[in-house]
Amino acid sequence: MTDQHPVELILARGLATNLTTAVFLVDANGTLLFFNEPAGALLGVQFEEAGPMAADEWSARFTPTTPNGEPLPVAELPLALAMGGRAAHAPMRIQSATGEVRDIEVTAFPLAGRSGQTGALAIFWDRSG
Amino acid sequence: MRVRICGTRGSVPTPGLASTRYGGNTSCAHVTLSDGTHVILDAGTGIRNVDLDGADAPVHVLLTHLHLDHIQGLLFFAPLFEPGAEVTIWGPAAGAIPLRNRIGRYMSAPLTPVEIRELPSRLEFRNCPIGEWRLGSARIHAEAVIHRGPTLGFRIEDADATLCYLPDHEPALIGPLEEMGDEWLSGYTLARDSDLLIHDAQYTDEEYPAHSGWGHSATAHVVEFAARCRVARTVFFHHDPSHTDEQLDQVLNDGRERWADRGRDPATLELAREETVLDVGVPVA
Ligand SMILES: [Zn+2]
Ligand SMILES: [Zn+2]
Repeated sequence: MTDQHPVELILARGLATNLTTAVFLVDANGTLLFFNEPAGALLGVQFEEAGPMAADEWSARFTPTTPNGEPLPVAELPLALAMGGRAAHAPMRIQSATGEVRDIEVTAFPLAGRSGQTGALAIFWDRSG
Repeated sequence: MRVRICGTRGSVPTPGLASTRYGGNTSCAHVTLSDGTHVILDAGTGIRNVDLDGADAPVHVLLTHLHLDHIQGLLFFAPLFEPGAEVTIWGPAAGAIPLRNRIGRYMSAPLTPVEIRELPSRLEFRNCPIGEWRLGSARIHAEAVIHRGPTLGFRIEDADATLCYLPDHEPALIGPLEEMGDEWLSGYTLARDSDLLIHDAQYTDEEYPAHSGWGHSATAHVVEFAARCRVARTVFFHHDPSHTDEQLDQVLNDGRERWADRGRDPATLELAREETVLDVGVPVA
């Protein structure tokens, strides 16, 4: 039986849908719940196509590295830190689904509702070109 | 469990000839659980109609939120003035300010002649737990839902019957309900498979676009929501203060037509009327 997401995640998706900044939303387990159209443009795939993904799946699919291409441990990703309860910001390089390499900065922060932390939200800033 | 509708109106009371059939008091429903526990859902002006039938058992008032139409009747709730009467008021937590102080903004000078501390009853204020908890013979499930400000919805399960109460709710705020998966539907967990859903139906579909974001639903939203949640019986609630009885008849016709279009029995969709008694599951003796 499908369970409903907590209302703060539903509202976060509603907000993200209406933003022109790129937003990526995960639940408390790091499972990707949603990314908006501007994030889709950076990732080279739209959410409707990609669908929800477990944390290891999306981190492998978009292969984030440091800006000079060094491997970036998943635990050090801003979203991973945000899931631990604090805000984080980092520059990184990702590979989009269409193979393009993009330099972005990521700002991530925890989403906590009345029942505690239920997820985290990241904003992607395009630094390419 | 037995539900008596004591106040049906949203926003502001509407006394007068145009509201004699559906009622003019603001939101309140009196639920009697199978073990006799009294649960009052919201404390609009309809709370004056609550008849506890001389019972001296503890009374629990569950507030979905603190908008005036849901607390305005508190000062006129007789048990609060009875020495020794045990009343517990449950409401949504909001930051660090205790519920008592937040309600005290209304029940204090210069707005009212009585201060909370002057009430002779044994009155307790408690933050309503999120998730599931027990109250008398019932299992209560409270969750935050989309409205303006911290707002709860309630699911009450008692003796194999389930009631869901969502008097102020705008799940369509984030987009068309038809395009949303169940997991993105505010209130879904509370309402799914319930026997009786009492839901915000403040606006007609024509009125809604001008009021998007005000925290309420339109006819089409409630029909879609109830269908998605596989609700057996739906009661439109929180009638707009500008709607006359004749206009509300039209809302009912419209809702029933849409309900029938989905192959559902039109009789299982109703409009809340003051003084209506609804039995959910086994009737209360
Ligand atoms: Zn209201
Ligand atoms: Zn309200």
